[in-house]
Amino acid sequence: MEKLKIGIFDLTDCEGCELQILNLKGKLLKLAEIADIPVWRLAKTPTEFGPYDLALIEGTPMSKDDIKLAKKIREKSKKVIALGACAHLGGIPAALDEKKRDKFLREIYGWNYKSSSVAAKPLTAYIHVDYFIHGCPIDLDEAEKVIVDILMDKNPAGPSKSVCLECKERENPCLFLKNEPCQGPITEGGCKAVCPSNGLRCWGCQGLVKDANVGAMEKNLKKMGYENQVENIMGAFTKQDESKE
Amino acid sequence: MKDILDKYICKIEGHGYLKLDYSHNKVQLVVDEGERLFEKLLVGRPYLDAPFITARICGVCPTAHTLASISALENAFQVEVNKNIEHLRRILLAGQIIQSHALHFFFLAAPDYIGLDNALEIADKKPAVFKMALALKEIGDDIVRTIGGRQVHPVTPTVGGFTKKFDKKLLIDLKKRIDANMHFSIEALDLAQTFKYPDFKNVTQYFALTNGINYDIIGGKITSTERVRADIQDYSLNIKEKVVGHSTAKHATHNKESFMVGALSRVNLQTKFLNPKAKTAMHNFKRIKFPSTNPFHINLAQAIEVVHFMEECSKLLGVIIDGKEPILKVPYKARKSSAAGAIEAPRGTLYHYYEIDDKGIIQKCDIITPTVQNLENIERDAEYILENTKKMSEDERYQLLEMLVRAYDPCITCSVH
Repeated sequence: MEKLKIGIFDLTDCEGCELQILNLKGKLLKLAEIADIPVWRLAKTPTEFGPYDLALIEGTPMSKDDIKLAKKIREKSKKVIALGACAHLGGIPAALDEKKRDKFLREIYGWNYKSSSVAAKPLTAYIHVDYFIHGCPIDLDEAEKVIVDILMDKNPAGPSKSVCLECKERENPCLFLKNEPCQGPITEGGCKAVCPSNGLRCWGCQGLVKDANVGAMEKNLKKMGYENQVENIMGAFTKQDESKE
Repeated sequence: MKDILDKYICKIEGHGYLKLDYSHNKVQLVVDEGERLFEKLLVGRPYLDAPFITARICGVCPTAHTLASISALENAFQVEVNKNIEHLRRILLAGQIIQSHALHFFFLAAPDYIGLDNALEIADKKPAVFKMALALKEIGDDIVRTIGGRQVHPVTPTVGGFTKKFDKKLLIDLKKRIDANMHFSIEALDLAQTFKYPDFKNVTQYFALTNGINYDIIGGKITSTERVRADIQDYSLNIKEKVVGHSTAKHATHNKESFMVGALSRVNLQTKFLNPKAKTAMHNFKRIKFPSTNPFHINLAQAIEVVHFMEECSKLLGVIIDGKEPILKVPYKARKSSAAGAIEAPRGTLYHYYEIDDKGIIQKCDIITPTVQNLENIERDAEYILENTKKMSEDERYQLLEMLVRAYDPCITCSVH
């Protein structure tokens, strides 16, 4: 059987999600038995420039090359996976107040600086995406499952379950009840509630859970005393995801 | 598609390429990442958002950013943490350095010296080396996962300590795993010593945080091989950033001169404070002596540091395990204030600075990453190499320059924040 071709690509981002793919370690050798990875800039010299059976794209298209590359990858790939929160939602870079982008650029780089980049947006603002691997960073088990399912021609989507539920299954003390602006109740699980299990409130990096009640979250945050921070709290991830409200 | 994929230097973190003028020996390392503007993104947010958000500057050294932001905020609020918290942070940061060095040394740089292209080829042709690489990457990940809660983007560190308690049994088991993997780090250093490093000596000024007592990586004084000794709060007087036309990353200089930070700087400045196994291994080096002015020895210095930090983690874990049940969160009061914090990230000194108002909201933020400090020196070394390789073909010279950039382990992702 001819080996499948997988391309792994990074646009502007922190590269933490492709590092997680690298963290699959020995399992990558197993993957290499059935698939070639002719392109992975972080790990090797590129050898083939398409077509690909599967493309994993990490990051947000911000530079001109990012946007051009994302479109080319789509043309040359049967299936495209958005890898991680930046590609899925825009993520932390998209939490910037874009109306002030020019002002901010001037303050950091001065008047003479010319930026050729645009505001951070999810991958879907530019190309069609077939599947998403959620999270900031992605969870290794979810990544493995999605990739294996797709390679076996199965639909990787499982039942939707909130971080809140995953957190309760672990019997953690509730941070929301301690007046922390935890996004667990409206956030898609799959991360094993890693943040609240370690005492850190959920930031919502996996995107919204199915039928999320975003309005109720907003109201509660205001009641809890976060009137001035609602945009900051929800703008980082949960409000970026308008697909499941 | 080929034009874009071939343009960028592979096996480095982030997007950069070389622009060369062979006839005039001019080199520009063009950094082409979108500006994410983290320093502005943080303004208007509560100070506790900084450790979470700044981690996202870089997936390769997120723990370093989290700890640098915490250090700055604790300096601002004058928080005094206890020894156990300090030790656990040092273990966590040492784990981060082992993770990052193991990744860079084996997966990105080593192929240049072994004559292969990538780690999968190493797995195929040099399985013993690959086994070493996986073991060291895994133990680094393990340390960060156990203390930080996750191997990429830590969740437990916070202002005043940690968000959770650590079961002593977890720490005892972690120490056992570190001790069991120690031999891999020494074998990796033996291997690093056999690499044929291109023979270029180009003196520069080497900067790192030092305290004159041990090989510390959190706090201390800004120190250089040319007798700079400055307080962290005076970082902006000593390290000045400038905007350059060809790069979305700024360049930093000291007195308008380029300088180097990172593994080689640290080893050059404080060889005498390395732990015993690292020191003994260095005494057995046949050809290479430190301090070294060869930038390719950055990779050797990384291997030295992996041994040192494995020993350090084992030692500090021993201290915590033998002590009383540690208290891992101290009370403090946030208030209107400003301060800088600095730590040694895998690639060198990382500075964070914050101004906080009376409601605990960030009003100003400044971040200077190690790679911003190295960029000017990379270009200077690259030009020096061009001047001294006129008999080589253009292709050979280009390969050598890419190898130089890779040896520096630039984190371009970090450099455009």
